[in-house]
This record gives sequence, C-alpha cells and structure tokens, in this order.
Amino acid sequence: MTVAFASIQRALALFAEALLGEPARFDVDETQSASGRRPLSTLGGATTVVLPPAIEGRDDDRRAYRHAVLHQTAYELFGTRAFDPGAFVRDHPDRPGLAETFAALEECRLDVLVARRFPGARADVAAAADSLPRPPAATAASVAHLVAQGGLHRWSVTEVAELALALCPAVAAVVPLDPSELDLESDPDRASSRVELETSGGGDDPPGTLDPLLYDLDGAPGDVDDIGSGTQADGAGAGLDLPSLAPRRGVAIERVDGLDARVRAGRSSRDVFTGRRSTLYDEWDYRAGRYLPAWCRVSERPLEGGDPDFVVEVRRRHAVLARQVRRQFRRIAADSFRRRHREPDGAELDLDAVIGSLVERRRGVVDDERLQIRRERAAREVAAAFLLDMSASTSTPVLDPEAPPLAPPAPVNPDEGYPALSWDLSEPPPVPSRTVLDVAKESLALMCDALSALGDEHALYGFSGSGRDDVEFYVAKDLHEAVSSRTWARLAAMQPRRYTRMGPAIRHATRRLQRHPARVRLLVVVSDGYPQDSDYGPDRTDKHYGIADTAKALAEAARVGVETFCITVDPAGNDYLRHMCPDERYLVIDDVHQLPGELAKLYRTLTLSRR
Amino acid sequence: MHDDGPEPEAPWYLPVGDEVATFEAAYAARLPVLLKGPTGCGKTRFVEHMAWRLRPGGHAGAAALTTVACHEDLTATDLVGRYLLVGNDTVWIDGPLTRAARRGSICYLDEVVEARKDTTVVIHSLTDHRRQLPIEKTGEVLEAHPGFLLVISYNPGYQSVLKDLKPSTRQRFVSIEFDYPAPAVEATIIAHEGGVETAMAEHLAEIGIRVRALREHGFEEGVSTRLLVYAAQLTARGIEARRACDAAIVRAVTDDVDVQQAVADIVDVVLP
Repeated sequence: MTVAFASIQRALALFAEALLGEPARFDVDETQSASGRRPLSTLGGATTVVLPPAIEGRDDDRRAYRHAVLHQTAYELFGTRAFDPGAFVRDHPDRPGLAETFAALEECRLDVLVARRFPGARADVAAAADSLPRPPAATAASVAHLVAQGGLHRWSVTEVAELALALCPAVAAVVPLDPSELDLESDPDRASSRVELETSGGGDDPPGTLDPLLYDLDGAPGDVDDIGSGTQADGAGAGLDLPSLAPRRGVAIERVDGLDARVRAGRSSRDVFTGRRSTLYDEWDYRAGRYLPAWCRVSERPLEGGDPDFVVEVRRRHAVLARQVRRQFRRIAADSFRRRHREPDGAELDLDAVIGSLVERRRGVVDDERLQIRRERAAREVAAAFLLDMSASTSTPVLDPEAPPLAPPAPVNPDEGYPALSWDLSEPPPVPSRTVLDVAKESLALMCDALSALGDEHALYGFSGSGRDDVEFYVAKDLHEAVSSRTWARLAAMQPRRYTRMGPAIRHATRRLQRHPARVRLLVVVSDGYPQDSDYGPDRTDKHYGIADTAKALAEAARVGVETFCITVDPAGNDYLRHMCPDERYLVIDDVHQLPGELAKLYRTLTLSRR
Repeated sequence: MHDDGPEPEAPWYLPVGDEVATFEAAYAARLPVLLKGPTGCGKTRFVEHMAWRLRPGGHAGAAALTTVACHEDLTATDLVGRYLLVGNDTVWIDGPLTRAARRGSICYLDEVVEARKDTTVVIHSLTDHRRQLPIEKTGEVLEAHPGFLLVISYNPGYQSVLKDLKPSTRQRFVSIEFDYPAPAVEATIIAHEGGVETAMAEHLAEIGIRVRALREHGFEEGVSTRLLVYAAQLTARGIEARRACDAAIVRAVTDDVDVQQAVADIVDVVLP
C-alpha cells in the first residue's frame, strides 16, 4: 500500500504541532528517506519536517510517515537542532569523520529518547534501526561499544558532541592540550564519567550494527551511573577510560563550551520569537497549481510607543464627517430593537400568551407564566476586521488640505538683494507631515469610534513584513476588546514598515474572525498597492504570483463565511483588483482623503444588506 | 440544622496554589468570589471542597452548597423564585439563590455569563455591603443569612467573545484564577480520581499537554483534566487504554477528522 503525503498532510502537521507546541513547516523532498533521519549537518534554522512525497513498500505507510515526523520533531525536543551540528563539524580537520561519528551517536541517543518518552513508538523505532547511520571505520568499534554500554538517554547533545570529538583521532594530532585541565573527576556533573571505550574493533557488535534499544530498554545494562562506578567491561584490557583521552577531550570541551553558548543564545532568541506567537500558513503557487504547505510564518507583533491623544486630533480634523457617520450608525442601532414574546418578565403583556394562558387555566392546566413582551436590543452579530497595509509605500506623503497655502514669494527689491530662503538649501525640504498611512489610520479611528457607539464587534489589524518567514501582523484592537486609550496608542504606533505579503495576512485575519461567533463576519483590506514581497514567488518580477495568492486567500475566506472587501488608494488598482477580488468586492479611491467617508459608507452598505 | 448521620467525606481536591487560603479569607470577610478558568479544570470541585471545609458549625448535613448551572434561558425569576399555580391558588416558591440567602449556604452560579443579563441585576445587591435580595414579586427585601456567600464562575476562553462580565459586576468579586494543573499535579489528580497507577496517570497527563497544544484547531481549550480522568476511569474498569482514550478524549474534543487523527496519534505514541 502506498500513501501519498498530500493525503495525510494536515493530520501529520497537527501531530507535529502537538509534539512541538507550535506549528512546524513541512517540505517534500524526493531524496528524503522514509525513516525520517536527516543529515544532521543540514539541521539549523526554523523547524522544518522534510518528508518524501510517497512511501512505498511498507505495510502501513501512514505509520511510517508518522514515525518520520516523530523522529524529526525529536531533533527539536531533544536539542539537536538548537545545537546546530553543521556548525559543530564545520571547522574540524576530519569533518566527514566527525560528522559521521557524531551522527551515529546522536541518532542512537535520539532513538533511545524517543522510545522512552513515547513508548507507543518503540516498535517504529526498532523498525527504523536498520537506517541508523554507520560511524567511520576508525571509530566504529568505540561507538558500538558506547552504544552497548547504554544510558544514552542521560546524555545531552553537547556531551555526545564531546564524545564524538574525543573519539575522532584527528583532534589529538592537531591540538594537544594540558591534561591537567581535563580532570574529569573534578567535573561535578560528570564526576564519574569513566566510560569504557574500545580502542579497536574488539566489541561484541560488528561495526554498523548499532541498535540502542537492545541496550537501553528492558533493564539492559548500561545506565550511565552504573558505568560511572568504574566497572570494567568484560574482556579486560580491551577498554580505556576517558581521562586517557584527555588531550582530545580537552579540545572537545573547549569547542563544546563555545557551542553551548551558541545553543543558549539560540534558545533565548527562539523564546523571544515564539513569545510573539507565530502561525504557519500555506501559500498558493499558481504556477505549480498547488499549495506550498506551511510556507509562511505570520508573527504577531506588539504596537508600542504611540500617542493615545492621537484620536483627539482625528476627531477635531474630521469633526463634521464623524458626526455624519455617528448619526448614520445611530439609525442602524435604533432599528436593532426587537420584541421578544412569551417572556417571564417584560414591559407589556403578551396578549396572545395571556389568552392562551386563560384557556389553559380553565382547562385546569398550569402554564409556564411566560406572558410578557420584552423589548431588547438585538445583537447585530456583526464582526468586522479592518486589515491595514503598513508597507513602506504607505509613507508616501499626501498634501494636507488643512495646511496653509504657500506664501506668495516676497517681492524682490534689487537694491536690498534677495530675501533669505525659508530653509537651508543644503538640507532636504521639509516633508509634508501626513502620509497615506496617516490618513488610513485616521479612517480606522473614525470607524472605531462609530462602531463602538453602534455596538458592533470590530478589530483593527495591520500587516507588513519581509520574506515568507517574517510576515508581521499587528493588532491595534482585537474583536472582543473594548476601545480604550491603549487602542488609540496602538493605532497611532502603526508605522510604514516593509513589504505587502497580503495572502498570509488575510489568512491570519480570517482565522481570527472565524473564531468569532458572529452571524456576519466582514474583512476589509485597506491597501495602497498590489501585493509584493522579497520572495513572493520564485520570480520577483512576477506580480501575478502575489495577486494569485491573495485572490486564493480571499476565496478561502469566503468559503469559511468571511465576507471580504478590498479598498485601495492606488490609482492603478483597477488593473489588479479585478483579478484579485470577487465581483464588486473592491473599490479604488482616487483621492486618499475620501477614504474615511468611503469606508463608513461601505461598512453601512455591507452590513445593512446582510442583517 | 445538624444531621446525626455519619460525617461525609470531603470532596477530594488537590490545591495547586494558595486558592484554599484565599477562599477561606474571602469567606471570613464574606467577600463574593469569582472563579475563572477553562472547562474541566476543577472549579466546581474546588467549590464543593470549600463548601465542605466551611460547612456551618463544622458539621455535616447542613445545606452548605447550592449549585446552579447557568444557561442562556436562565432568568432572574428562575434564580429568585416565582408564583406557581396550584389549582386556583398561587404559591410562592423560592428560587435557588433566595433559598441559599435564607439558609446561609454558598450559592454557586456556574458559568454565570451564560445566563440572561437580568440575572446580574439581582446579584448586585447581594454582593456589596447591603447583602440584600429584593424580591420584587412578593415585596420582600431579604437580608442574607450571615453564612451566605455568592460564588460565580466563568470561562474567559470561549465566553469572552460575545458574553463577558461587565466591569460593574466583575469588580464586586474576589477573583481566583484556575488553569490546567502542572503535569505532575495533574498526574496525581488523574491517579486519584481515575483509580489508575501512577505510570498510566503520567501518560494521560502527557497526552493532555500535547493535545492542549492543538487548542487553536477547532477546540478552544484542549482536553480538560476531567476528560483525562474519564479516560483513566474507563481504563480502571477494564477498557483497553487506547480505546478508553479514543472514547473519552479523541472523539470528545473535536469532530474534525484530521484533528481526531492527530490526537489519536498522540495517544498512540504516548501510551506504552
């Protein structure tokens, strides 16, 4: 039986997410083995699970896929990826030898850990034992003996690295160290690490037939503590202890100390990263006609440092419009009351219910006393999210209609010479104080004010970013959040950033809306140009890639019940919006100053027609 | 009102922080208590335990706790009481809140934001210094018994969206926040409540942690401690462990087939 990866992709992605606590990226690679083992030197960077497109010749291919995922998450769970094995072996004189020795030990360690931590996967680990990497001939016997000693589950990846370095003869030849620095007995953590090592092929296992499970499970000998007691292995004289490898181990410790620091640094930056809460989304590749699984990472970022009084100026600047919008929205609110019949409490009697009740009483039946009519405001059950493009192009200045007109040039009196210029020519001229983004932010502030009065749930989001791994998503106000000074401060803090990868931002906003139990869910995207990013598609000049992905994201939103609408202030917007948006679901605004008014009109139309 | 029967056992509860001391202090000052936390994390059991600890006079048998499971059709009338027609007569029947206020027991309104808005009005006067319950239909203003305490719970996870407590209500209560316990504590709870060995309880706690990582995917809160205990109880009664988890966890948390498969995979690799 053959199972194609695509058919079980989502369940596997969820399985990996449950194991890791966050989403993992999946890649398909025809050269990837079904065992899930990867060349350790290729690990590093973001968590990526690499799987073959199909696995053939197994009885239960789904289970083989599952184990491949489990094994690759073990690289994350047990520290291999954070250790960065590629960097570890990079500068070693015997790079292949060290890489192979390290891989042989580390893969054994991981198999033991997986089998112990996930006992239900023991059979899968055992089945994958044949695929364990073989150490080079020079260290094969020692590695085999170490594995046979067992206790690998107590070793950290850095200790395995130390050991691999100690076993690699090239190190001793290159850098001899003072053995006094390498007194293992003084190391409190590893005080008794007198590990028996075979110096030559004298072990019980022939090289290349490592099976750590034989030794580490079911009470087999080989606990590290037991080894620490100094017990000699059978076959006296065949082993030597680690202090005799002092010079090699000294280099190992030096190198590994450095790596440890790197590992720690990597973890802390990772913590900062995951602290932002990121989510992976598929991306539509129109050329290939398929989704690229878990292609983009959307990270939610804080908005800080904005001025909460920003809204005061907005209300002053748009006082007339704000009044109009509020009046319009109040009319919607007034229409929203409804009468609930047969209520236990209320302002008036429900005549039908009273008559029915009297009839029932004459018949001797006790009724339920729900005889009132209550007038209550019906929940409009509208949830709207406004998604604002914060790309660099939104820093484009706009002429401020309130700005005082330029003063006419002063008459020149040749006798007095030319008047002084109002600014130094060596400096750039003063830039207009408002940008496209400023006007968009003002529009959202007005909407937010009006919608709060109306009682509709609404959210204000922004997005930008650079590259598929760094799509930034900003939340100025979330759906369930009340408007406060923090809302205004966060909205004010929105600044032009980088690119416009619209697809993943729409998917993320859709996901947030989807979780909101409203009858009408609306997503309004406000932008100033077509979607683009540094790697939005294989060819940067291909504008259609981003447009196709955004169109797909909008269609996905529609499928899950989120209505979408795109507004752009880009005069050329018609050229691409008609390809990107469903019919009549977009608006091109010539003058950015029309945005506040248009947005309010649009909202009213869209939500009223669907009440 | 004391009962001569045997002393009932205390409802078992394993403290995870200082919640017991906080509740006792709140009770001593007769400050109403709000319990926040996800479903199945032990809020109701905690109240039962505290009602037992604080039972009037330290004796069993008194009506120490009145629990009301709130729902969207629950009105103030349902809490306070109503006239019922008996033949051609009308008879006043106290609601659970009125009963608790008269008798001096703890009244626990579980998932209070599910109830209709008018219920919050009647609890306001009971939760401040007045400790009164005006019963509009009888004209009575009931002074709450000195032993009375109002405890409410709500779940900020799935209830924070359209339903939320107004600040004017929320700020009348001392808040105690709950979450799913740490793995070791949760394993102890599962072992005790489910009647399974420690090793099995630890496996179930591990499943709980892993499945909660998927809470964004169609189920807001992951798997509750309650469901893990159910799985343990089924196992203790002879149901094969994977089958027990399938019934109590995999099928219970979601209807999404892919999520079910992922949860089943977690169960399969974690269990021996």
